[in-house]
Amino acid sequence: MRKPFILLIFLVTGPFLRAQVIGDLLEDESVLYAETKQVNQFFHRFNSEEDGKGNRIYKGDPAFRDSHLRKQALPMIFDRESSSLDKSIKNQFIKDVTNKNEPVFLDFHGGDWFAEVIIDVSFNGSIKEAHLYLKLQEEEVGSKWVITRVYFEPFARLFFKDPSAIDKFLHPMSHELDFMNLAKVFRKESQVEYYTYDNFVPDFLSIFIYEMKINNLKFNGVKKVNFHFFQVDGYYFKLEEFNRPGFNNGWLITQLKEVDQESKNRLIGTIYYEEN
Amino acid sequence: MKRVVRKITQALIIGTLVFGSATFTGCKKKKELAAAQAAEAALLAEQIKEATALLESILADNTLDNIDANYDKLDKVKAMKLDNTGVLNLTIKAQEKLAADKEAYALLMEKQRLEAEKLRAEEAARLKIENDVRILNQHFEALVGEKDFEKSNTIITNTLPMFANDDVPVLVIISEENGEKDYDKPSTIRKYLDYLKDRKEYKAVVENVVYDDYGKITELELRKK
Amino acid sequence: MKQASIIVLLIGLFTFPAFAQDSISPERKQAIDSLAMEKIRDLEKYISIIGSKETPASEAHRVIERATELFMEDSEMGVSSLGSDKINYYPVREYFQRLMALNYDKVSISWFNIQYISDLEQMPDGKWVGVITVYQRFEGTTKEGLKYKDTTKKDITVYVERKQTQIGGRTIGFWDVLLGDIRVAETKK
Repeated sequence: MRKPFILLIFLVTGPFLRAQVIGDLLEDESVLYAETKQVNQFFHRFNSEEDGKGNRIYKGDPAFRDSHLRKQALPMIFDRESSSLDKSIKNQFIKDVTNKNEPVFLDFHGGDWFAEVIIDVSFNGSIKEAHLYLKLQEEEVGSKWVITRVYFEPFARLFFKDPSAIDKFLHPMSHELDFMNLAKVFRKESQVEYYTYDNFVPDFLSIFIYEMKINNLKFNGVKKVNFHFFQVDGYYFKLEEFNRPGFNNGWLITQLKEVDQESKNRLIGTIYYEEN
Repeated sequence: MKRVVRKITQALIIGTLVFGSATFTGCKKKKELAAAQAAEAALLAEQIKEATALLESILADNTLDNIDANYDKLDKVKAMKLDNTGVLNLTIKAQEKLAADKEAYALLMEKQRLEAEKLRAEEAARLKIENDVRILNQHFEALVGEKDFEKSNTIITNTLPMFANDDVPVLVIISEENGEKDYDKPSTIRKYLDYLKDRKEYKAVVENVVYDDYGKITELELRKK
Repeated sequence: MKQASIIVLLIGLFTFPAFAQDSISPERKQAIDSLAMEKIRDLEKYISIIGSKETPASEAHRVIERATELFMEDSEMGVSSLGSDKINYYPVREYFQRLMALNYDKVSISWFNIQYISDLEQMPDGKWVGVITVYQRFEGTTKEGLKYKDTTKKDITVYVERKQTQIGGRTIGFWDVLLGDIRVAETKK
């Protein structure tokens, strides 16, 4: 039996095997083998670039990116307890990425994927959650993760919350009075955003950094990390980390959706909380 | 008249006889002398030939193995006291050659002596390294196997005097690709001994040892097993 | 005697990064992996010695120094436990000191024979970085006989840099492997 299958056995026969294994340690270790321990390992398992023991399979090895092995290994990197995973989409996805003529592999440096880091912060004395979005940026030498945007509910709450904003504008002759009507605009400071240009989008990242600089905002710690992948054409999937008993553990796909360009944009909007 | 004639005839006959006999005796002596002279010349020629052969054999000898015998030959030629230009020239040449041979031989002997000495020294160094490596391995293994902290420290105290000081560099080769050695970060002997004491694992072999003039180790190179 | 000290001094003075490398061959990567793994094993051993109640204080202090030397300056441990969302961040030295001072009568620390070594990725400064994941089992027993047990997953940052130094008149190329931040997460069994 080939090594990569060992992992498969753990997953498929997991609960039964556990009962049979004698001694804690062996049981623990087999669970740990099965766990997708790093995002890096997720990439390698997705692409079939490692064997069942986590040893790298290098280019030139017959098992490297082997389509047959991938077909068997891919189901293991899905969250088996997720109710939002559609079985038929999952099967189609596996079929598509392992297509012999046009296989799809994940590429760490390939773009079209990003991290969502949920952090705990103290904001004006109370504990809040903020979502940081980071992407891997290629540099002249090497690469680095950079913050691209932030979603922070206390900021979002401040903008465009009046459903009837129709009467909020500076009339076209305001200039003749030296814009003296600005006084009224700024008296209701919570609605100033309605007096901005058409495509104005508040830049939460700048506000976030500013609030940190003036000590209104303090970082407490990282709560959770998710990854959003759009690297496989026509699909979106979300990667989350699990810390639970059993063999279906570590970094696993929790959401898988078929997307076209339009639904992709909508989805990205949702991930960024732009609808709020 | 007849008598006179007879007497004259007699006198002539006697005269002839007397004088005739005297002339005969002189001729014989001359011949003997010539023969003697010829013999002498032949002998000389023989001696020259012999001397020349001896001298040429000296000159033709390209080895340094027969210097004494060649000197005997030269002495023999000299003893012949031959007054011959050819022999004299050869004698001078042979004399010079033998002097040069003697000098070369002395040099050769010195060189061989030095080589032997070097070999002895190398052998001694090899034995020292062999011995030191054995002792080092013993100490390293002992350290790895020793659970007691105090006893471990004693082993370290006993090992350090083999080294010039506590900071002697210890290099560990981790891999070699196309003759290019890859090392772990250089450590010092003190740190390395502490490392063995803590890690309880010695997975290396001694690759090279460098000494100072006092026989103390100034560099230790190990290769990871 | 002095010469050797000077040589050692030179190690520090003449250490400079080798020219930037674009890629690391699989053979080299494996050699670096095993070297990095060796540092992790060193750390594991040091943690076991520091945590053990049988280690004399003087030895524990010495080992804390050696363990700290394995790390890049400013490295931290980010520790999370199952009971809380909160992550506590400690400088590594403080983590070791806390470990030494743990109020148990008996401590046993062991390591699972499993690890995951990531790829090495190049950073904008030319150095390489990877992450090695290991699992540790901790068991502490109080004087009263109460047992505390946990298993933690440790994701350890590993920085790798190609360096050169002069020793005994020749140039030595070596891989400087330093550990960085560690995420410590208690695992559910």
